[in-house]
Amino acid sequence: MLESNIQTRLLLAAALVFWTGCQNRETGSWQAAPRPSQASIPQPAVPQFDLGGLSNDGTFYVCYQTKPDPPPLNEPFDVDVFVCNAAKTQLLADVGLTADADMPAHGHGMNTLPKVQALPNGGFSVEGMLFHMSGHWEIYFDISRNGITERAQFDVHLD
Amino acid sequence: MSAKIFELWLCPPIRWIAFLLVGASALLAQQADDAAAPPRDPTKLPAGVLGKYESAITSLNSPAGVAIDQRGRIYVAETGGRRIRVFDSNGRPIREFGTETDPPLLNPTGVAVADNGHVFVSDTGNNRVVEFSPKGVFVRSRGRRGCADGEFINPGGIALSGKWLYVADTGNNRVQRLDLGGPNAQIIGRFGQEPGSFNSPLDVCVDAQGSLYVADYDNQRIQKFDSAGQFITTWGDWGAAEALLAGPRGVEYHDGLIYVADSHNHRIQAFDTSGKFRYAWGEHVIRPYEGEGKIHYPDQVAVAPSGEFAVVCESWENRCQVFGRVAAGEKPKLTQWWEVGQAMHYGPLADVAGHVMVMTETEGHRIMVFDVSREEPILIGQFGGYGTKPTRFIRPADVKLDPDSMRLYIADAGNRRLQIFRLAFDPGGVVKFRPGLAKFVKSIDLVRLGQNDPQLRDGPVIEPIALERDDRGNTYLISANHPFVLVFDPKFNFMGSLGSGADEGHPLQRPADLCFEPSSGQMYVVDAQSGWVAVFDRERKFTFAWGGLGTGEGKFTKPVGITRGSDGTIYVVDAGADRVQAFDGRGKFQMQWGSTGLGASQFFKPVGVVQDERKRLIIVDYGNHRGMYFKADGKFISAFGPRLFVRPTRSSGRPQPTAD
Repeated sequence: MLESNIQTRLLLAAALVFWTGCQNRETGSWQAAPRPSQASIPQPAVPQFDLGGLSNDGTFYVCYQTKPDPPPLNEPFDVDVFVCNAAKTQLLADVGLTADADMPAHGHGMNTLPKVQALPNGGFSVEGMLFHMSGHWEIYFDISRNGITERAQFDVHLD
Repeated sequence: MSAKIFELWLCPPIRWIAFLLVGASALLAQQADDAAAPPRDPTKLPAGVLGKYESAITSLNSPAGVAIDQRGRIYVAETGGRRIRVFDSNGRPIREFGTETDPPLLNPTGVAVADNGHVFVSDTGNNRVVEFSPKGVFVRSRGRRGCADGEFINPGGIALSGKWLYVADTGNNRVQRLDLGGPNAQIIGRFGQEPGSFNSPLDVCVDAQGSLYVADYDNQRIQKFDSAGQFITTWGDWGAAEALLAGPRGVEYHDGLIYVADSHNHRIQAFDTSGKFRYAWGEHVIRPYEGEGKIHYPDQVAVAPSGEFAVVCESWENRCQVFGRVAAGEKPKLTQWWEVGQAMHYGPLADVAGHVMVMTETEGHRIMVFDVSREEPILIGQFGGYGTKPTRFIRPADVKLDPDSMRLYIADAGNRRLQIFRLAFDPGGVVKFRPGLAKFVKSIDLVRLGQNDPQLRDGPVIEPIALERDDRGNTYLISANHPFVLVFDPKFNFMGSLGSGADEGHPLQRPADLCFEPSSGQMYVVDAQSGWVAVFDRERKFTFAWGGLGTGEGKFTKPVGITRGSDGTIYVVDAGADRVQAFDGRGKFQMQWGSTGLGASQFFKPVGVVQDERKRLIIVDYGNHRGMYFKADGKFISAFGPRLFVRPTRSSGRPQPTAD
C-alpha cells in the first residue's frame, strides 16, 4: 500500500515535470511562463540571494542570481529568479515571468531572446541572456498575475 | 435659325440624321442616369498592371468603402456623409441613397454590389447590413448591436459570393457569413493573435474559388480561409518593406490577385492568392492634401470587373482616386515614406501636468514627452515603438498624466491594454532630452480583465481609445466597441459604467473623449456619433447634455476631444467641422474658432485639446501633423511640429522667428 502510494506520487511528479516542460516549449521566449497551481507544490524556502528588490509598483520582491556573476561581456549567461511577496515571506507560485534587458541610453536591447522556464523549486530559470556591449544595462523581469504585468528592474554596469 | 439652315433642316436626309442624333443623345442621357454606360472598352484591356493615376472623385465626406459593378459604376460608402454615392467610371455622379431609410444610414463603411445590381451596405453606426435595390430603394436589413450570431458591433467591409454575404464584424473581432436566402449566420474566428483569430478585422473579399481573405488590421496580416470558414494560411507582418504591412484596412480580389490597402504605408500591395508579393503602387504625399496619384491612408480598394481600373478611397483625404493600368512591362509609381521623410502625427490625444506635456504619436507607435514651461515645447523624452512586449505599442490612443505621482497611463487600443509608467521628471532640472525618462511600472490586460468580470464577460473585447481618472483614483475608459464609458476602481475592478442601458435619457452612442471636473465630481463625455456632450455626476448618473448634430453654434459634426479649462470652461474639438467651441460648465455656448486649412487658427481633423499651467490651450491638429497653441480666448499663439506643416501658420499668424 505504502509502495503503491509512493509510486503514485512519483508518477504525479514526473507528469508535473513533463507538463512544465511542455508549457515552456509552447510559450516560447517572450510569453509569461505559467506554473502549476500553488497547492500542488510544496512551499520552498525563500532563497537568500544578494541581488534583488521590489518591483516597480511594490507588489513583488524579486531576487535573482546571474550565472556567472557578474554577467560576462558578449557571452551568454543565465539567471535564476525567484518572485516573492513584497514582505519576502512567501515565494509566489501563481505568477508568470518574462525577462529582457535594454541599454536605455542607446535605445536598444539585447540581440538574443532568452528562454524562461518555471522550475519545480518555485523559481525560474532564464537562459540565453547576452550583453553584447559594455555600459549601462537594465535587466527587466516582468511578472504576470491575473492579467496584470508588473516590472522589476535592476541596473547592471558592464565594463 | 437662318433661312438657309431652315432649308437644310427640311432636307429629308439631314432631318433623319438629326432625329437619329437627338434620339441617340437622349438615349445616352437616359443611360447616364440609369446605367451610366461605361466609356471604357473592356475588350481592350491593357496588358500592364494597375497603378497609373487617372482621376479623382473629390469633395466626399470621409469615403471609407468602395465597390464597382459590372458596368464600371463606382459605389462609395461615404462614412461621414452617411450615404452611398454612385458615380460612373469617370467620376460623374449618378445617384445617392441611404439618407431616406428608417433609420438612415449611420457611418456606412462597406459596400458590395450583387450581379443583379442590388447594393449591400454595412451600416456601421446602426450595427446592421442593408440591402438596396439597384435604384437605391431600401429592400431589407439584417442585424442589430450584439455578440450573438447575426448580430454585429461596428461591422466593416463586406463581400458577396454566391448566396453568401461576408461581413467583417470588426467590433466582435470575427467574420460572419450570412445566408442571403435564410437566417443562417456562420461565425468565423474570434479575438486573438493566433492563426484564424482576429484583432480588428476591417475588410473581407472572396476569390473565384470561394476562399475568404480578411484584412486583420491590428494583427498586421491577411488571413485566408476556405469557403467553409476553415483557416488556410496567413501572410504579412508589421513593417514597411515589400510585402510587409502597416495597418491593412482593405482587401480586394480580382483575377488571381489580392489587392491590399496598406494604410499606414500609403500604398496598395498586390499578392497572389497564396500570399506571394506581386507588385505595389503608391506615391507618398509631399505637400499637404496632395492627390493626383499620391495615396494617403487608403481605406479600401476596388477593382473593376473588367480589370481596367481600380478605385482607392481615402477617407482621410475625403476623396477616391481612380487608377488605370500602366503600359505593358512598366512598373507603377511607388515611393516609400522614408524616401520623403517622416512627418509624425501628433495625437490623437494628449495630456499636461505641470511643466510636462505627453502626446501619443501614432506613426511611430510611441509616446513623446515635452517640457512646456517655455514659449515652445521642448522634446525631453520619447519611448515605445511598435510591438506587443511591455513598453511597446500597437495603437497608442490616449494618455493621462497624474500630476501628483507623475504616473502616466497609456491606452493602447491595438494591444488592448493599459500601460502605466512613472516619469522621472525634475521640474527644477536642466531641460534636456532624457533617454530613461519613463520607467515602466505595469500593464493591465483588458482582454483578461473583461474575461474575469461577469458583467463584461459576454460583451465585446475592450478596445481602449480614451481614458480619464477622477480624484478617487478611479479609471474611466472609452472602448471603441462599447456605447458607454467603463469605470474601474483603483485596483482595476469593474465598477459600472456611464451611460449604460439602465441609465435612460443619455445620448451616448459612440463616446470619443471625456474630462473630469474635480469640484463637482462631474464627468463630461463627448460623443462623436450623436454629437452630444453628456454630463454624469459622481454616482455615474446622467444629469444633462448639450449639443447635437449640426454646424451652428453649440452643434457638432464629429466632436472627438474635450477638456476642462482652469476657469471651468469646457473646450470641445470638432474633427468634422475643423473648429473648437467653448462652453461654460452648464453647456452655454461661449465662443468658437477654426476653419479648414493650414493657416493660423485653421485645422485639418483636429482631435485633442488640453490646457497647460500657463493657461494656453494646446490643440492637437492631427491632420496637419502639428500642435497649436492658443490663448484661452481662442487667439492663436504659435504652432509646433514638422516644419512643412508649421510654416503656413507662421506666415499667416503672428510673426515668428525664421529659424524653425
